[in-house]
Amino acid sequence: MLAQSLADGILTGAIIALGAIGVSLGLQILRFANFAHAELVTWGGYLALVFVTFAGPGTPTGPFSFGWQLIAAMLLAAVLTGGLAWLVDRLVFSRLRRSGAQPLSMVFASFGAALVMRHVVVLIWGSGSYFYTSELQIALEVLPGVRMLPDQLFILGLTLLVVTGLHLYLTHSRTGMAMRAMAESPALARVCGIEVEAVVRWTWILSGALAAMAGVFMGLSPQIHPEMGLSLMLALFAAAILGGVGSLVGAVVGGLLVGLAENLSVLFVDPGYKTAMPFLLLLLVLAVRPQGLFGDKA
Amino acid sequence: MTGAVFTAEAVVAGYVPGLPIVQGASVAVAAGEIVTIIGPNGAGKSTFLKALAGLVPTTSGRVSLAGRDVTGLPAPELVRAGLGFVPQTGNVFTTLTIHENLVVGAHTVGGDLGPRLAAAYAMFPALAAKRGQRARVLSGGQRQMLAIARALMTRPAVLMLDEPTAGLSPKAVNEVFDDLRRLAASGVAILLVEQNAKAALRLSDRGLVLVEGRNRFEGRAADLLADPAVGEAFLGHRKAATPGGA
Repeated sequence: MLAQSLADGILTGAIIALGAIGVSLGLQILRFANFAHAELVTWGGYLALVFVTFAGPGTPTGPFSFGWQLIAAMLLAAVLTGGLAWLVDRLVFSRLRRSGAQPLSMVFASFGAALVMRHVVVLIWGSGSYFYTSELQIALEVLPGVRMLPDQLFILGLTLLVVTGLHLYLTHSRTGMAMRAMAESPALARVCGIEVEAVVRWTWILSGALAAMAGVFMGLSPQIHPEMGLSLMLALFAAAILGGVGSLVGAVVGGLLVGLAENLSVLFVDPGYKTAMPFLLLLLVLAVRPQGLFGDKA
Repeated sequence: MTGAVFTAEAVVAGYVPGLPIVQGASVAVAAGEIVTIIGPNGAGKSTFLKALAGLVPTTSGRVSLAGRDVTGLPAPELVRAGLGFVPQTGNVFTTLTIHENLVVGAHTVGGDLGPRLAAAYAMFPALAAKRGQRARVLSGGQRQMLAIARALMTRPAVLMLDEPTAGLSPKAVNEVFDDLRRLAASGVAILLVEQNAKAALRLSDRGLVLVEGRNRFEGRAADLLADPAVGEAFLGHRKAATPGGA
């Protein structure tokens, strides 16, 4: 039971981590809490659905419930959601930045943007749920007492691959270093010749693409619905802050801890308290390390 | 000034519209020359440099770099035009490694950075030994070295430094000044703001005394050091005793 809850927690945590990376980058580079980020998760899931509706999820490949079409749909959704994130920035946040808006104004604007984005989803696709595939899967025993669906193993594997790739990108590419530089000091980044707007644009696109992947993964386990992003929002912020704002490793570890806290807590307390557990953990960690587990001291 | 690679004429700049801190200051620096700006606290020295670096809005005046009018250009454009700037505080990225700081410093430079990195490490061997470590582990003097090396990665025609010796030990101050001498000898035009006025003027070819955002005195550094008016007001010289005086 404990081992199975651990596995479930890691799976939930992987999805949260992908969304939390975007929240963490936003908090550090864009310098405000973007509550519309969770809606990018929803949009990613639905944009992939558009492709799946036309092309189908494909003939199941190996043990998975889908074929290459769903992977193509996910990549397409990642690109489109990245573009959508940038569009939202152009329409809402960049105007506020130019007018010298305070971070609190940006936060409230993000609430507004989130509401609009969520209700546009309902307007287009309705309030019901959708599945990418109706294929049935049989859980595999991956470890003694731990059973997981092949699709869930795919989610874990691809998350690991994406996070590793992103880590290498941020630490070895010049654009990645510029993003980290701007996260620490926008003024110094400017005197190094870094175009702030270019980094901001790239941050939105990257965050949107990762959120879309999280959305597709949520759709694979097992459905998408208009409030899937909203249901994830607090967990995303908890993970980003728990791990330490601006830290990729922190967002991943934070996501895993939030996922584990939710899934392990049901072994000991009423499941009704499940969603509160990550925040209890957050309070405990912040009491000892206000900058989060992997965050840098201000 | 004839032959200046960098000139700023009658610059008016400030953080708040209608409240200029720099009120018509001018300066010119030739290739290989060191010019120091001194003045009392609140004279607008740092704001002047920040305005020239594109970090503070300039409301009037003219700035040219290598014959090109660069007035009002944003900071990244000025870097591309050949300007390097080392701010007084927060002048290195502490969460990045020394190597990453140098790479970020060359953000506007395309292609292989190998030769530039090798040159930076050759000029500052202390940095080479710690290239994989985060900049936060460096001492104050080493941070200044890194900040200068970072600004030099674009091979700027002009390097501006805002109080590079603030808070440093006397040994580190000498090292920074030696580095600046070597840089000037290599042809870089250096514009310096310094509180350590006497030492900076001894290092410099020319000097400028800024008071309330305007040029009060300017000329050869040796002349400013010898000028009793400058000495008494800004260099801490005692007034010469007058016979029969109190």
